Amino acid sequence: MFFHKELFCEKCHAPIGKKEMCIFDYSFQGRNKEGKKIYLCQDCCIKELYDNLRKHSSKAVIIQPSNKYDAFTFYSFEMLSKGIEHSINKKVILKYLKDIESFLPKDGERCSNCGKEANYTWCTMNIYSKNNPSCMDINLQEKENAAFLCTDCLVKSLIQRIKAQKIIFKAIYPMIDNVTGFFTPWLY
Amino acid sequence: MGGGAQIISNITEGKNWYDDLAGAAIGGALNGTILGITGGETLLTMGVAALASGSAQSVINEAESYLRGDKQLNESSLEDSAMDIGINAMENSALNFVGNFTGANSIHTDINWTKPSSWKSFFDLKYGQKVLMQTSVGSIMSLAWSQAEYSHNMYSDMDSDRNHVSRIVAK
Repeated sequence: MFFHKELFCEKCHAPIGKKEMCIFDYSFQGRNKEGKKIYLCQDCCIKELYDNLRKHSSKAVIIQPSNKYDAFTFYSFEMLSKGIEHSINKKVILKYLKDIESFLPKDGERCSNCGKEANYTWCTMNIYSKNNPSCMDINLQEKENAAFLCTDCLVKSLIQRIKAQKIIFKAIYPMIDNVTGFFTPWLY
Repeated sequence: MGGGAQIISNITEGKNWYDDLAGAAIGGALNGTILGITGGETLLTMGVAALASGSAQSVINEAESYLRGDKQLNESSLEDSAMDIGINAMENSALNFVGNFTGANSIHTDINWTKPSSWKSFFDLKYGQKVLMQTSVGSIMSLAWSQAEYSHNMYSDMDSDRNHVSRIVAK
């Protein structure tokens, strides 16, 4: 009994197995004092992700989730450049952030599907030179294959992608403030 | 990695394979732990890791030399030990620092990325690869340094023997 503690989704209260549980971490591993972790089933976790995207109006690069990575993380450019002035790799990190930032949709960019204003750039893992999200070499040529999407079309594309890849998330680190950045597949 | 390099060094120098092994292993582990926790991206964190591991290694090695019976505990040997610990700590720390710096320059990470919760993620997200690289470069530097010292001492001994023989022959 001690080892089989039953877990419940904090939204729909359905019982969930430990392997199907996703941590929706508004605290961003304790760095955001006002946010907290929510333990959700996969369905509620995906709904929470859509709500999170709809709540924010800032531009972002969305790197398609992949079943090889069990987390989906939003990194704001502001957060990733915090404290790097003392890093010996300052130049490398600044170039990495500048390269990803160059993928953001320009002002007035329209959605490739419906023509509404596009806030998101939808691109594949090929954005990373070695297909590894912790690789700081960004493949700028991938801009040719990127699509610009509005929030509704992004949500549709995300649903299709998550279903097609049968992705089970262990953790999602969502957007916290209205700041530009990128969502990337990551490892929990 | 520190332990592995120490075993190689001991074998090539004709010592017991386990001599000074505890100090090297604990020093290497301490360096890796501090780099893993702090990210090992800044000169300060690399320096702290190098100094802590270099000092720990020197203190443990010195304690081991008393336990092995190489040194007898008395006032004079304690004074020598304090000096030896100081010199060895500086030497080990400098070599570890070179390793930490080289590793951080070769594999890049951002200290603001989320921290992985498993060993697999730790290595796939490059944190582990980086710490391993930093520690192994430091260990290889230590190994090269100890081999250079050993060769230098061996040739010095041979020179002094040759001079001694020449003096006897001249007489």
